[in-house]
Amino acid sequence: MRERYIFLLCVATGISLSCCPFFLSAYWLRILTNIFMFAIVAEALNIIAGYTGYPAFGNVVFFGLGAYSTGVLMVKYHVPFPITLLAGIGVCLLFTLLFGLPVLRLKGHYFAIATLGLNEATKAITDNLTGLTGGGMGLSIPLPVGNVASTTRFFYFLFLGTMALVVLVTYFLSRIRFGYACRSIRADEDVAKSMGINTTRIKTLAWMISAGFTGIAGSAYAYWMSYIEPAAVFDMTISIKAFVMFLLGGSGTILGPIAGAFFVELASIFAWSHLLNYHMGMLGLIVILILLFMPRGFVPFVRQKLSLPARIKDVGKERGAWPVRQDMKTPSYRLQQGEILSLHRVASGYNGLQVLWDIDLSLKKGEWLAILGPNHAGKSTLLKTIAGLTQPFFGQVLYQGTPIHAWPVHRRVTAGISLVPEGRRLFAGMTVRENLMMGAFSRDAPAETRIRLQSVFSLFPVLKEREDQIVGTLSGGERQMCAIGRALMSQPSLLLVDEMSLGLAPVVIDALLEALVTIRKEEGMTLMVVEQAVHAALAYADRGYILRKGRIVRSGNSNDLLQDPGIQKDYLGYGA
Amino acid sequence: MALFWQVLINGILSGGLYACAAIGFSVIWGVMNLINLAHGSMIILGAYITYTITSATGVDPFFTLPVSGCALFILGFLIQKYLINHVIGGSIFMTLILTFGLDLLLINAYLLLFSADLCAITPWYAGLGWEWGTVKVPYTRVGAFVFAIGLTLLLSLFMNRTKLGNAIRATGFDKDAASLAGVDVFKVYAITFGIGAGMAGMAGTLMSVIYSFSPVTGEIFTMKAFVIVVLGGLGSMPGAIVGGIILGLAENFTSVLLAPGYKDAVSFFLLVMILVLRPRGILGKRFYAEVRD
Repeated sequence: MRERYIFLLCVATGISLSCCPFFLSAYWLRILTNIFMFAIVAEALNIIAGYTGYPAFGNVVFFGLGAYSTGVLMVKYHVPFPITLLAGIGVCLLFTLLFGLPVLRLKGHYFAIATLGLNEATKAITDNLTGLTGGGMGLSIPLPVGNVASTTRFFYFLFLGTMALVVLVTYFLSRIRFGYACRSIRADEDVAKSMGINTTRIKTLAWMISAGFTGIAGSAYAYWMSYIEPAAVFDMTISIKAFVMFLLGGSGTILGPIAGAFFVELASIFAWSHLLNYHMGMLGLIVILILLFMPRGFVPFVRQKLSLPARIKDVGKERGAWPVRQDMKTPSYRLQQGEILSLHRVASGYNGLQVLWDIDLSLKKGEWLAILGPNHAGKSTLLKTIAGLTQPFFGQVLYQGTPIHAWPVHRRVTAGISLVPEGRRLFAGMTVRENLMMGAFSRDAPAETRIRLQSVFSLFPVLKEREDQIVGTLSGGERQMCAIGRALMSQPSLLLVDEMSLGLAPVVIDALLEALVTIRKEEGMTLMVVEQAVHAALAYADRGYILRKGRIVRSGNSNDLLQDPGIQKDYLGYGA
Repeated sequence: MALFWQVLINGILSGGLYACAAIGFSVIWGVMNLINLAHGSMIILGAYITYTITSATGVDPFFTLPVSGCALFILGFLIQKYLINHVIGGSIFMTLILTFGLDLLLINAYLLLFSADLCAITPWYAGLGWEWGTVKVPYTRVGAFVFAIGLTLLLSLFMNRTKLGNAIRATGFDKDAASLAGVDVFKVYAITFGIGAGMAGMAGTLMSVIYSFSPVTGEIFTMKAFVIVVLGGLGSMPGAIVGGIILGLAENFTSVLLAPGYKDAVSFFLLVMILVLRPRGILGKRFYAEVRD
């Protein structure tokens, strides 16, 4: 239904734009023609960058190639324009075929740079082939036959028609298998490959379509302007403008780039066309402002302005959670004797995806708490919420009676909370010693840090032996020791340990647990340990909490939990 | 044969300067996975600072190094803190376009302040140098080379030997783990960008002694920084020196063997070839932010 309205709107816009030449002034026709040209370039960019996810930063190279194909053929060989247009497309496709195979193997920044490099190299060659291209002097192309009015109309319809064509092609492509293949490459190329998609072919095809349309725009531009030079048609600003247009309109949508082109070009005319000296700076400024205030495009921006921050509320509603209350900042809870950490009705997760519901938890000083539960129960999220790697949507986290849920991670570290993250997360290119010293970053006392380092070495003597080795050369157990050692270097009062036994031999796990026992005995450390190995975890802990599907389903003393026949069932997920 | 030695020496001398011009770019890219398209314009800003000071006071251009370094450090710190930190971590389009917007702003500012004319700084010893037969080595080029390599090595020492340098490297390897070690990641980002910009500013000062420059010559330095980083490996300081000298040699030999106009084109071809054949560079190992991809 909605699609039909958009279709009707497009048809109506198309008809009214087709009527424009009969009552608009030549000035406005030129402006509209210019907008159509940018819309073509932006939509063509959308096919490779928006749909396929390859940031072809130097796509303007096809604009220049198209322009020079027309220019050279018309000036040197007196070929009629329509044929040069086709030749321009041909040159662009050939160029893509030639460079597409090697360059499309690159990803992200590297691809962006390589395309930029291609553009600069092509520009430099065009500049130097003076005999063919006129070099820096440029080329003057013969004007179309006919009076000014008919020429204006000709280019107006040429660009309008191409714009309509590129929109239709994009629409068509997004509907067929090819479009799905493009989007799956953008989402995850390896997965796409494993699903049997010939990603190289799809990428190359997508870039060829993009190149062809950009080439048409360049070709027509050359004929329209009747003068071209390398600096003008290989100008990176064209690429950047196209990027801004398609980002502004919402990348990966069909009409977004077109809307973006209208917005940017009209804005530039109304806002600063008369400030010639500041033109470039104003473009720079508007680019920066757009990115800062509408980073996800115009549509989400408007949506956001009209409705309140709906994300968190929606998530809560969907999963049947409680209504959001506004008392996050006022502690409504009295500190209990000896309590170091407490969580009240905490809801948490990532990017609007809720993982934890209604977590109430408390921890006494010197206590060893085990957090148990099956995979995806939210155990790691719980530790991350306490450490500050993710902020709770709702509820309070109190540390020594102070609400800390709004604090950044590093402030919590200074306050004495230290997390040994899942998967160790050591600094891969640094030595054992450097990793450990990084752990003491929050402590500003070198002498104390040296003593601390010695006590970590006496806890894990093997780290002393490996002191100057890059951590990549360590065994799994040694890496885990290094991770625990690093967390201890900040002299925490509360140590959070996430899945430390993952992938390690039982004998190593025992050694690590014994080390934690030592730390606790010597320093009175409070421990919160996430584990999958129920028995090992409960054997050392004072108390345990069991998480399932993001909620606490049971808690109690370790002995009670160990003797409860329901635990194994619950934990392994046979029940419920 | 004399020509060969001349080209070889020129190549090495400009290569050292290129290394210094690229190192800031490399650190910013390596630590934050951010490509600063305004890097070249920051180099030019350093050159304009030197130009303004020397033409106003007549002081030796090399003495303006601390001024351009500090000024650019502050500018870079503020840009990262108030602009880029807001969009970092999103798609790479964002930071690419944001820094290009900054580039446009800077170029426009130079055009208004200094006009589009070429500027050059000529200290009294500009035409002098050592001579062996027909081979001539100007003092300015040697001076710029020595300072460039010295600054690059100093930065390398800073990154590997100081607490803050280690924190910057650690943040590059794993920003979450660095924050768990107590590092304020966004502050480190701002400092990193400041260092990158400061190095660009000092490279600009050194560049201004040798080459003439205008508001738009920065662009080519951004591209050269790309080439060097790709050649030498992301975030690597020795790599930057090796990459810089390779590029310097390639450019100088091309302009003699082929034509001076192809100088830039050849470096881009070098770039594309290296990206395709050995994407991790010549000294290539995976580095910094790249490990995350």
